[in-house]
Amino acid sequence: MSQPILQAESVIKNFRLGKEEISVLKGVDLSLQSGEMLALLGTSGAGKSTLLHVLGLLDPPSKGRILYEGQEVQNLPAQQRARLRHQKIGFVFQFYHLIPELSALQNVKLGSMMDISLGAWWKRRGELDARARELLQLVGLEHRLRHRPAELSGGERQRVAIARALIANPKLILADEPTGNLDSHTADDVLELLFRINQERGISFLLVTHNEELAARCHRIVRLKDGVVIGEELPAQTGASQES
Amino acid sequence: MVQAFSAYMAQRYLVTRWVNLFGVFGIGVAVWALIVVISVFSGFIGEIRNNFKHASPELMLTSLVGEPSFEELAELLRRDPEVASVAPRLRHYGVYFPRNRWGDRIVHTSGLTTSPLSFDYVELIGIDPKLEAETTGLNKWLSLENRDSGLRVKDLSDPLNPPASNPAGSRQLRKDPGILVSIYRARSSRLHQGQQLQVVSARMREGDLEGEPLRIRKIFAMSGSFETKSRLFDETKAILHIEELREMLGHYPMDFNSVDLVSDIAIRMQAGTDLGTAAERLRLLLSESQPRCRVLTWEEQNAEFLAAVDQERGMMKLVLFAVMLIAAFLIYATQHLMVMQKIKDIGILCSMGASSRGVLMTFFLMGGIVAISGCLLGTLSGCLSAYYLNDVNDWLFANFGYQLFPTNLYDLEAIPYELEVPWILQVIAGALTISLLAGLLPARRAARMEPVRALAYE
Repeated sequence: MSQPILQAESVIKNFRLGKEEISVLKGVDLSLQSGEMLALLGTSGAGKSTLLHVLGLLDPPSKGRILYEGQEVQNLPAQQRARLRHQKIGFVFQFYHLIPELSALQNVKLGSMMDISLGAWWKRRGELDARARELLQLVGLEHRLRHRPAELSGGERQRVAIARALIANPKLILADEPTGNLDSHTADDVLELLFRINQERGISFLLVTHNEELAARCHRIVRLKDGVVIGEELPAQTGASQES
Repeated sequence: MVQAFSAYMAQRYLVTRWVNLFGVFGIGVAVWALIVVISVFSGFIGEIRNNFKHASPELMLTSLVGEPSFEELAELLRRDPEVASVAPRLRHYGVYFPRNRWGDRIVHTSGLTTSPLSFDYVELIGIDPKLEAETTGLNKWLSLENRDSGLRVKDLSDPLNPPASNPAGSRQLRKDPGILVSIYRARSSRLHQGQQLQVVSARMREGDLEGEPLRIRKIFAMSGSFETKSRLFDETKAILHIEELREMLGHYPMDFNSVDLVSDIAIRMQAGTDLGTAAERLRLLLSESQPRCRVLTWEEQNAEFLAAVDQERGMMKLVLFAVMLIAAFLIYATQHLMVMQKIKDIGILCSMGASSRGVLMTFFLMGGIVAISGCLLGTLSGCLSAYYLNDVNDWLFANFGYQLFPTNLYDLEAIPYELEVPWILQVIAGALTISLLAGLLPARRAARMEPVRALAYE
């Protein structure tokens, strides 16, 4: 078996609320293979989003190890974590999180500007612009390039967010309930897009969801409850769960 | 290294958020005020300095003790190869009042001189016209430049020679010694050439410094007017022949015991002489005969007034600096507002791989662009305003009867201004530093934001 692209070992995440310390993740172990589409399933408050933020290096774990392609990353300096986030990870959020001042094309292009100097970007601006257009074409928004988020539908906004996540050629996309804010028809379209990207580009996906149907379409399901992984299952083997 | 997204986002925020214009405007106004007000102030000070220079001898030997003789001192002074000429001066105080042809005092009701008890108090300056003309700008003072005046002396080579008059009802022409009063005094008291002026003063009796002072009274005739352009000098001085003043003080030329008394000596140096060094050298030259004497440059002669005006300029700079601080606070407030409005954006940028340094740079660049734009706007408008101030002043007066700077109040032909490049550079550097610091604080706050909290911010 090849080396996992992402591993979490005994990850604990505590928050301090006044004098009280709340433990949201209580020793999570998880691994994600290259090209795998993993569903992280759990009810509200299970710690799914927190785990996603910790795995995406947006929030450091209180304890435990995070490994990207075998390299421990949780203790890297902030600058290096930001670079790693840019180069290897794409984020797709439930509420899209697009910059309202920017058009669809500008939002996607912005993703290519994170780790590049102004001078270097200026030299490559034509190439990067073409790439952003290509990605918007991939998600079916070639006719909405100049529209701002406020002028786009929910599904279109999520497609822009997906295109933006792809601009830096990540190996992994962390999606936090990507269809949670969409109607079922639009949600299906967006999911189709994600599965297509996974198949065509071999990008790994970690999908946070509480939708059993969506999870069932993934390669593997990890169930999280009260900050603990309570089980893993392969959708094809429904009922043959592997209790952790 | 400025990351591309920092510059890009700063530019997008600036063009989409008009609130930033407040910062640009605030800094612009502060820089404008600092440039215009101080350039007018500097111009005004320059004008005053020129006027003082015009009205004062290059060097003045003063604080003489005893009964110093001009010739003795002049001989010593002339030993210095850089002394070009010297002129005696004798100072005393007195009052004068004009007399009509019947010998009565004339009281005019113009200005503040409404009381019949009021009189014109002056410092009487006794001069030797020929030596004075060689040493100071006497001839220029008497030429009354830019004045179409009937008060100009008839003969510059003999300025203290008034036309004859027939006073006190007499048909006989009388020739009185001449006196020069400033054009301001002559006009306000409606004096004319040949006008009799009674000068009254007092002196102590010889050898009796404790006794009653002796009253001195002498009739002069106005030979003309002078204008040095130093209002302070012109308003307080009347010029007469030194021999006349010596006589008033009890020193008669025919008296063998009398000396060619002076209180000061005006000195002109060769062109290009360093006046400070020369003053010190001359003081040493006279240290034996006049150990307590002082030799003052024209600046030292007017030091108190010049220092006061300079002090005012300093105070004005301080006040305007406070305006700059307010403008910087405006930048801080708008930047802080921007950061608060863009918290979610900060989270989004972090999720895309923005470093905290990149986030800081985004907002710092915004503050920087606001500061630079404000400085450019202020500098440009400040320089243009100073350059065209007289045109604007004239236009305002012509159309609205209002003047920004009433030139007649200061007896100026135009509003003086002096655009000092070092000052402008200081203002720009100061404005940029303060504004950038003001912009840095909100930027630091943005950079320290936790990405997850920022993403969850509503």
